[in-house]
Amino acid sequence: MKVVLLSSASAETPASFARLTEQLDLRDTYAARLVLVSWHRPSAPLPVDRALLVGPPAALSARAGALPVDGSQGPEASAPVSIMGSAEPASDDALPTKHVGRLRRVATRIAPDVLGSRFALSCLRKPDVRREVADADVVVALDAHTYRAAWLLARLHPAPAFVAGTGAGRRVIEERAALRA
Amino acid sequence: MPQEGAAPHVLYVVWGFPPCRGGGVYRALATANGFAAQGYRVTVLTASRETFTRYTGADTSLEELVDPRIEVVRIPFAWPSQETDLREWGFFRTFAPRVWRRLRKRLDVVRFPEVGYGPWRTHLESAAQKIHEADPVDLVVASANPNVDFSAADHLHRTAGVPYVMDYRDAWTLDVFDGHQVHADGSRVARLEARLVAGAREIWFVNEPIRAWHQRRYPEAAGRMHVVANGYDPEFAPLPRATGRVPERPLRFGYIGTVSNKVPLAEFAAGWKLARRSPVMAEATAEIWGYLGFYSTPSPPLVQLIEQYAETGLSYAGPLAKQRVREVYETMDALLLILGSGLYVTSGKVFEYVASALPIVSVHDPRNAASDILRGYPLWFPVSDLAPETIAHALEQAGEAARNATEELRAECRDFAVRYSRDLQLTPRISALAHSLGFTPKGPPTTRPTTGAGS
Repeated sequence: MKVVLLSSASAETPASFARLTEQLDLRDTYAARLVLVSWHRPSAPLPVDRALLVGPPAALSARAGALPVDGSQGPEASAPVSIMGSAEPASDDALPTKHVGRLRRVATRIAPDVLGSRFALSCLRKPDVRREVADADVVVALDAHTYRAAWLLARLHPAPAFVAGTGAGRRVIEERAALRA
Repeated sequence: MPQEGAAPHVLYVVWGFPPCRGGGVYRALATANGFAAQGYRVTVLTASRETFTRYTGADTSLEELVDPRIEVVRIPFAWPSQETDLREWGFFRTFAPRVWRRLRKRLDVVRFPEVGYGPWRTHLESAAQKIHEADPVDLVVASANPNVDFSAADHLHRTAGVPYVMDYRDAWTLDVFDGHQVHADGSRVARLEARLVAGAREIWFVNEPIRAWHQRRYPEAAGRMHVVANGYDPEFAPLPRATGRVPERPLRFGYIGTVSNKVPLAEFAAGWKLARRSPVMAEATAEIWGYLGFYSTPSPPLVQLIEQYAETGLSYAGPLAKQRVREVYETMDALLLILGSGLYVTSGKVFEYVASALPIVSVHDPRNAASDILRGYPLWFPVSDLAPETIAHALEQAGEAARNATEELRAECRDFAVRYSRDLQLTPRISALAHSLGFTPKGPPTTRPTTGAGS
C-alpha cells in the first residue's frame, strides 16, 4: 500500500504528523509506504519513506540540505529529501501595471487560492511527484490548498484514489486494504 | 384507513437510520421498532447505507437491532458539499470554491428550503409514491431533522389524503440553544412549517419547553402536540449500580456522547484540573467516549484540548458502539453531563445517565432543559455557573458520593429512572395512533422497562 500525502501546512511537526497518521490509521498490516509532498519544510525529521518539498526556496530553511526523514520508517527512509525548488510565479514585469492589477482582481474572484495554484503547478512540473503519484494507491490532499494539485494529478493518473481529508483517506485505505486481503 | 382488523401500514421517513451513528438514530430505531412491536406493518424510508459509511460514520452493530419485520427502503442521498472523492469534483468546484459553495446553497433550496438536504425532496416523494402504490400507506411518520423528511409525508397527504405525524427531534424555526426564532414570520420556511403543522395528525416534540414554544406559535394545533421524550433504551442502558465503589482506587469519571462545539469542554477541563487537588479526587480519571465533532475524523481543536489536559487524567477514549455502552458504564464511578447551553436542549444521554444510578455532574447552564429531567435525582450534582471553581466543587461532591452512596440511595436513583424508559414515552402515542386508525395494537398500551440488577 502506497500513500501519498499532499500538505501545504507550515512546518509539520512530528507530533502533528503522528496525529495525522493516527487519523489515517496506517496500520503496520497495511505495510504502507508513505510519501509526503509538502510546500513547507517539516520542522524535524518525519517518519515517512520519502519527503518531497515543492515550495519555493524561500519557504525552506537555510538548512535545506538536511534530511527531515526519520530513519525508523524502513530501508528507504534514509533517502534524502528532494527539494523540488521554486514554482516560480510568472513574472509580472512583462505586463503593464494596469493589466497586472486587472488580472489579479479577476484571478482573486475566480481562483483566489494563490497558494493552491502554486502548489498545484509545482506538483505538475516535478517528475518526482508525478512518479510517486503514478503508482500510489491513495493520494490524500490534507488541506484546502492541496485540492487543486490533487484534482489535476487525478486527471493524469487514473489508478490512485484521490481524496480530501484524513477521514476519507482512512476509509479509502481501509477499503483498498480489504480488497487486497 | 386500513381494512377492519388489518394491520395498518406505516411509512416511517427518517434520514438517519442504522447504520447511521448520529444521536437521533436511537429514537428512529426505537420508533420503527415500536410500531412493529404493536403490530403495524412498517416500511422505513431512509438514505443509502453509503451515506453513513462515507460521511457521518456508521455503527453497523445497530442494523442488527432493526426488527426483522420492518422493510427498509433506502434511496440515494447526494451530499455534494461533503464529497471527498476528488475525482467527483468538477473544475468549477476546484478552482472557484467560494462561488461553487454559494451556487450550491442556492441550488439546494430550489425544491425544499433546507441547505444540504433540499434536493432530496424529489427522491423522497418519488419513493414514497412508489411505496404507496405497491402497498397503500395508512400513516406516515416523518422524523426531522433534516426537515426535508416531512416532504414525503406532505406529498402523500396532498395526493392521497394519508395522515401524518411530524416528529421533531429538535425544532425547525426555533434555535434550541439560544431560544430565538431562526426563520422570520412570512419566510418560506415559516410558511411551509405552518402549513405542515396545520395538516398534521400529531406533532411530537422531545421536551415540554419545545412543545410549549410551538403551542404558543400555533395555538390552533396545540391539542395535537405531544411530548415524546427520548428516554433510555432498556436493552442498551446501564444496569443500575447497587453498591458504592471500593474506596482504595482512583475514581473514574466518564462522558458518553458526541462532543459538539457547543459542549463546554474547555470549561469542564479547567474545573477538572482544579478538582483533582481534592483528596477524594486524587488520581481520578475522566474519559470522553464518543465522537469529537459530527464527523468521522475527530475535531482537531477538541483533540488538542484533551491532550492539553492529559496530565490531569483527562483522555479521549474514542467512538463507542452502542452495543458496548453498558459495558463502559460498568467501568465508571460517576458521570459527566457536559452540555451546550439552551433552554430547549435535552440531551438523549441524560436518560441513560439516570438509569445508571451513578452520581451525575451537570456541567451546563442550569436553565438547560436537561435540568428538568434530573431534578429530583438523588445523586445529581449541578453547577450554578461554568466557573472552574464551581465545576470543581460539583466534581468533588460527586466523588464523595461515588465513594459513599448507600444502597438505599442507589435504589432511590434506580426507582427515579424507571419513568424515563423510552418505551414508556413512545408506546402510549403509538397505541393512540393505532386506535385513531381503527386498529387494536398488539400487547399492553405500555410496557414496564427492564431496569436490570436490583429491579
